Amino acid sequence: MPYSAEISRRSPGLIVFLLDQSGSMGDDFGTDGTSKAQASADVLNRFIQELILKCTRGEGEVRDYFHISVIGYGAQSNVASSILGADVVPISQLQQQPVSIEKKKKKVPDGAGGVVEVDQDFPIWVTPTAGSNTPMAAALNIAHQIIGNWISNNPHSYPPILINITDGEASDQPEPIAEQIKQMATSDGNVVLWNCHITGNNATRILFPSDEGMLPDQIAQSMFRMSSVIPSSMVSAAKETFDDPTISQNINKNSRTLAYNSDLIALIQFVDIGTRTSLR
Amino acid sequence: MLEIKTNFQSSKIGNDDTDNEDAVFFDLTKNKFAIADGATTGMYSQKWANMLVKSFINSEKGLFDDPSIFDEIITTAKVEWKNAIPWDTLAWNAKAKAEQGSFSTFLGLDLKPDAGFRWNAISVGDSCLFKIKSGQITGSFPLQNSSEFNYNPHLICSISDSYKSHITTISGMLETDESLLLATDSVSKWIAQRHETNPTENILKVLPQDNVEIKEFFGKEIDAGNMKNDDLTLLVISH
Repeated sequence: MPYSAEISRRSPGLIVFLLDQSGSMGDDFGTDGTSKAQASADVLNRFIQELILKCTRGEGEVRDYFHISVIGYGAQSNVASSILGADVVPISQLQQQPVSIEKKKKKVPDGAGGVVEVDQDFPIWVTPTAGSNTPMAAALNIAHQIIGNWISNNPHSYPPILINITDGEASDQPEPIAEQIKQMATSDGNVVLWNCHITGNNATRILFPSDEGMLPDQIAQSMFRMSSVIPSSMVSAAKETFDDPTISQNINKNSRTLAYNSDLIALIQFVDIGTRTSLR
Repeated sequence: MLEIKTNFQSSKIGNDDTDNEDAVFFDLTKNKFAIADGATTGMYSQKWANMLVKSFINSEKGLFDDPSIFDEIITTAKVEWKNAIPWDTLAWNAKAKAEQGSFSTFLGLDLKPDAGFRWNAISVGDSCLFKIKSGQITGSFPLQNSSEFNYNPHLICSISDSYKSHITTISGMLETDESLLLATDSVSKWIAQRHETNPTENILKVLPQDNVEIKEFFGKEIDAGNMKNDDLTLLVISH
């Protein structure tokens, strides 16, 4: 059965993030003044934090169940490059090397029926950037190379996961290389390409669309074509996560791994589905 | 007089012995026995599993004395857990993870001499007790079938009372030709499957006597795909 390979320290998984850092990411994401760049960085930082917590075991050691790659694109014209200091970084190394750790107040139960405010650490690996154009194909080409190397060295591992966070309007031609990446596979299944297409407009949120015609414009339809068909083993997890009938009733075996115009919390839940596997 | 026929523990194949997150503790003078299976997904699971079994055995009261004793046992373990964690020196991730609590299954057994022994058992999760008469399994607790074992058993959390709605209890008599077998989930599921395939099999004859031989035997069963590669605990108590 595909997508059932054990993720362990001996056979870790690979997660590659592509982060749109183009100028348009400086535009508003919602109504509270948050930019799309800030929202994307928040999603990515939160996701990496949660992944590190999943990998924290025993008496606090971080086990290298995952290796991570983050490729930013568009901070400078036509440039895509790794932003973690290396193309692929073991998760334990990320735990040790956040760019900074912010303190935020959090309310927790005090054990006597009330609540107290405590400081909570929010580590930061990715800072918001909004620069130039949107060389998405260039970023996908780097991902193609990284994933190809990974599969050569880990031919039986859980299939690599590629998550692209963007506002969509590529300045090059990303569809052909996206198609090539989706055809790459380990013995446990094909690479899954997840697209988080954020817009900042008031359009209806659409998760896991199964038909291109469900999307409102050509950019979103292109993102649909670049997204993978959801692996059948993840359909029930997707339905459980998004039990709102307006979403869950549309999730089926033809659904694509695309989140269009989603809020931050749903985006985090969306990308989490792809990595919800047994860690040994 | 009760007798321990088998007291076997081993770590998941590929892990160090020190990684074992199962716990077993007993006191033959008190006729009390307990096993626990710390959840690998949590932090300090090994500590928590050990605190649970020790709190159960070390408690002055037993399951025969007071039905609410179990809550006192868990509360004692929770306080010990909280005090044992070096909160101020933990890295950001370890502190955040520890704040989510540690998790473990639990199975406790308390016996009292009578005409034979009367016994009470209490459980949260999928660590199981098997009743054995003349080598054959005559019952199991809390799970009845191999299909009931899954990756999400009920657990006792070190910072929550959610276990209270998942407590199950059972009582019985232990006669002279009977044994009670306690095991964590991997061994329990394996036993349940064997029993379903061959209900009259003498499980005590299937299991080797010596711990080195048991480890080798279980290793072969894991390699053959008959048993999940996991931490293993097996305790056999006979009258």
